[in-house]
Amino acid sequence: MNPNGSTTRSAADVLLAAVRPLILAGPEAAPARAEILGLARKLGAPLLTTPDAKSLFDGRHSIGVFSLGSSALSRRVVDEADVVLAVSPLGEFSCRLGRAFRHLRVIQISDSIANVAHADLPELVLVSPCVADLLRELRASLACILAKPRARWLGDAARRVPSAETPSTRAGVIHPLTAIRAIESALPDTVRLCLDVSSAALYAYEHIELRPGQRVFSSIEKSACMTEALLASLGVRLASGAPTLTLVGDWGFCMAPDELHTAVQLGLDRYAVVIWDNHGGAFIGTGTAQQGIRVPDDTWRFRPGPHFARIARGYGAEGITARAGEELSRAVAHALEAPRPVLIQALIDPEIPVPAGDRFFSLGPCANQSAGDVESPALMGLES
Amino acid sequence: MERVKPFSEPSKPARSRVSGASAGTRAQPNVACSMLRGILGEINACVPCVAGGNAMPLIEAAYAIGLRLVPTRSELGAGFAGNGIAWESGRPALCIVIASVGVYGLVQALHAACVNRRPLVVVSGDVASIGRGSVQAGDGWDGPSVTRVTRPLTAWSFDALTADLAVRGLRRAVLLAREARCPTHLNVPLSVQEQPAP
Repeated sequence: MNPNGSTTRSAADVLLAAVRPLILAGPEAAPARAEILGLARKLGAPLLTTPDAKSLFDGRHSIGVFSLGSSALSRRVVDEADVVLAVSPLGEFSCRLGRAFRHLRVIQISDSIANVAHADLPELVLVSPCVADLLRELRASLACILAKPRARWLGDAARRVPSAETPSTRAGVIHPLTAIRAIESALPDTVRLCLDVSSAALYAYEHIELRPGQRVFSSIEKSACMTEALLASLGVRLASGAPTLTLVGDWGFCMAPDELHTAVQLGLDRYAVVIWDNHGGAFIGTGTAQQGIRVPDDTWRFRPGPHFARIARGYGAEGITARAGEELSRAVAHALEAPRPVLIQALIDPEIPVPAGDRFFSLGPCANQSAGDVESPALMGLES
Repeated sequence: MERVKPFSEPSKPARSRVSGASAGTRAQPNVACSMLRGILGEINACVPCVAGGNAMPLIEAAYAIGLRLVPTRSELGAGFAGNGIAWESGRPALCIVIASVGVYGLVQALHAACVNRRPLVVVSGDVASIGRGSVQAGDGWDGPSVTRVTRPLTAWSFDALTADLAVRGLRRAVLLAREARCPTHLNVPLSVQEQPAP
């Protein structure tokens, strides 16, 4: 179904005319990984993912995540591109992040008309229950005209190479990058990773390397509600049956610690919660440092912070405190095999600056587009 | 896939989907049971819920027909657990709470489902008709109406004041959530839930 009469041929024409094409992949791209990689090679196009599709493509193929807190490279690519092929629900297009794409010609491929952008209608929209079929058709159209793959317009400099550098660490606390690597190294091949709104998520978007069986639940580009991932992880764990790890900030956990007791009562095994305990660092980082908000530091900083591991034990879960990368890695590996819920209090160095979660700020204000988003089903005649 | 049709209030009663045997511990199947039987197979089997007198027939019926109850500590937890179920499974997730304070407690989760396009179906148990306007009432008689509050965050929000509307309304809410990938909300008085199955 092509709601605006778009065809794969017209999409191929737009892509062929592009000088700097870009591919943005969301979770819908999961069954079409090979087709997307083939298209990227053919077009010489860099590949970005949404946060919840991060695990689909590793650092050899993707240059990163485009969302709140995206890297300078990701932003540069979006700024310089002229056409984006988006295999995605395009939540990004119905919020402020969508503004970053307004200078581009956008081709959207989706498995449902309900996912087609609500704020900014793409130039071309291709809808099919089988996204992989559409991409195969598109690739065939391109193959008829393009005999050889085009050179990568960003060059090899755009390849994201994980840093081998080990950050220096103070005793008793963990450097954020060390913590991310410790978690990454302990994840099994199949796992659900629920990233709450926290500085931990910003580090994870940028630095963690995931495999296709490691799905990410993230809502940072839309609702961005603290504690959402912590609570949603209960449902994710139950519905998936897979080991589930939630990465939540100290503030986020404090908003709803009681649901840990729900997990205990449900007898959830292989259910881990890692608290990124940097004494309220995200608030200090975004509010004080990035926005220049002038309030006493104690307004947001935990002095002292709660003893989360003890709280967990009080609820009947296992509570572990990790003060070093190796401890954290061992604790995560243990938790994802444990017969009962495990909470890991990871003591993160609060002196390390929080990454710039400034995507919204740098894009500036925009009209409230969510109202149209909400009302659209009624306007479509679905309501009597 | 079944299309969602415009909702109207017919005068003729809907046919019962319950055949003979009791679906719960009660001797006679009630409307709550018929409501949930009508959506079996359309939703994920995990049902986050928070216990409350006005929603107990729905919770009892969910248990009786084999759905897995997920009794969270708060309505916010139930709503977000429903978000997680819907995200993971891609199917509508049912969430049972009471009206008024119960619904207001999960408004944040409704917002998340709305903007992230997750099919969350909230069913709230309202006070019995005889208790309209009393404590925990969400019917708008002398306080805010829960369905008016949730309307901006849902594809459809509806007060089902008869057995027929409750049974057909829940099915419509589920199908609409699935098609629109948007949350829906149905508010059903206790007295309607407890009526004999139509």
